[in-house]
Amino acid sequence: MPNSINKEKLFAYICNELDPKEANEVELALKSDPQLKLQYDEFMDIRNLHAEVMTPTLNPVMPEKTKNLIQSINKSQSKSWYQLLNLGPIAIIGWLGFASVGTMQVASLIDTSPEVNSSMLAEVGLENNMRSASNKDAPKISDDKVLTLLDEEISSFTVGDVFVIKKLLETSDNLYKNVVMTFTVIDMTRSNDKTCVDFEIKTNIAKSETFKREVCIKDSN
Amino acid sequence: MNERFTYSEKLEQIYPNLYRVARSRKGANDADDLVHDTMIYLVKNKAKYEFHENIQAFAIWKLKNIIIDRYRAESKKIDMIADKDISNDEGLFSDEETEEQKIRKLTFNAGMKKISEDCQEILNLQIAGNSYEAISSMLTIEVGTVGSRLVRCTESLKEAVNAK
Repeated sequence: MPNSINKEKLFAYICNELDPKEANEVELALKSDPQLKLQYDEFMDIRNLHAEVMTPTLNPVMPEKTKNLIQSINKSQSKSWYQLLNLGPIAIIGWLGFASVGTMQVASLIDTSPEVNSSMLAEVGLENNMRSASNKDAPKISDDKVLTLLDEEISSFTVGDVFVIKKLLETSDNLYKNVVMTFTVIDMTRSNDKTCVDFEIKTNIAKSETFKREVCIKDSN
Repeated sequence: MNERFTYSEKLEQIYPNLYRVARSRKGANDADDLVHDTMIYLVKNKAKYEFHENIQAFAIWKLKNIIIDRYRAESKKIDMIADKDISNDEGLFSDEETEEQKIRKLTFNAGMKKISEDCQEILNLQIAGNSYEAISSMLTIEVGTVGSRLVRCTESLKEAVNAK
């Protein structure tokens, strides 16, 4: 094949993969090079036949059973939070509660009495106005309850909201440790029926780095 | 900001390409079941894969492993299915088509089955409208490789269709 148009470039032209300048170059070559035009026609013939025969069968309708399977995820979306809260090889033995600052008032949804916990604040360097739901006398909350509350609250989040989750963890040395996870809403989008939130997450675990996670959840009606 | 999707939406979006890969490898008869099995795995392991950077590529990789596992001990069955699939042209024709059109499609279909599964896969993904970049991402190969493989596979397909 003479000139600079090789088969790959010609095929990329057919597939609309070239930028306008390169596409123009191929078009000009096709007008002046009969051999290139012949190659082009051969590619087009086989592609047209391929499209004619295969396209109807390559746009499948998802079977009901698969559709139902995928939809079942939305019914158990709370599990998203388990991933967010995964702290690695330490067993979570209980939730101590959670609290919020800014416009988030998740703590008020649970039956605890928020109080300032200065030692915890010092440990993680949180803002002074953090209200803590951690309370020795408060009943422990099950994971499911906390996660369900988070799911319900996600639609009311706004950028800048901060909330804190405290967990009592058992470390590999059989020691118990209060772990504080600070979630800051750094971005969020809402569309028809879902809310996506980007969190920046910090913990008070030694050597743990700040990390970011995105959660998209279908809004409940 | 780009549009973002829930895990279930991501699975719905990757379904067509998963089906195309499954169909390219094991024909229409088994494609639905193979994709469904892949989806079961992805749903069961949501916590593990929800934040996967390239869930489509992972799903295709998983699908291929499911295919290998399912057919490893049934090599005879593979042959039977392959033979059956060549003759199974259900859905290829509409009622209005002439005999000549049907023969043309049958010839093409028979040629398609003669080329490698990798070739069927990449050609089907491209003809379904995926860009080189999208194919590169889902098959985890270089964009340049997509281009050269498409040319090579198209030439193989042309030979196979024209062979007597």
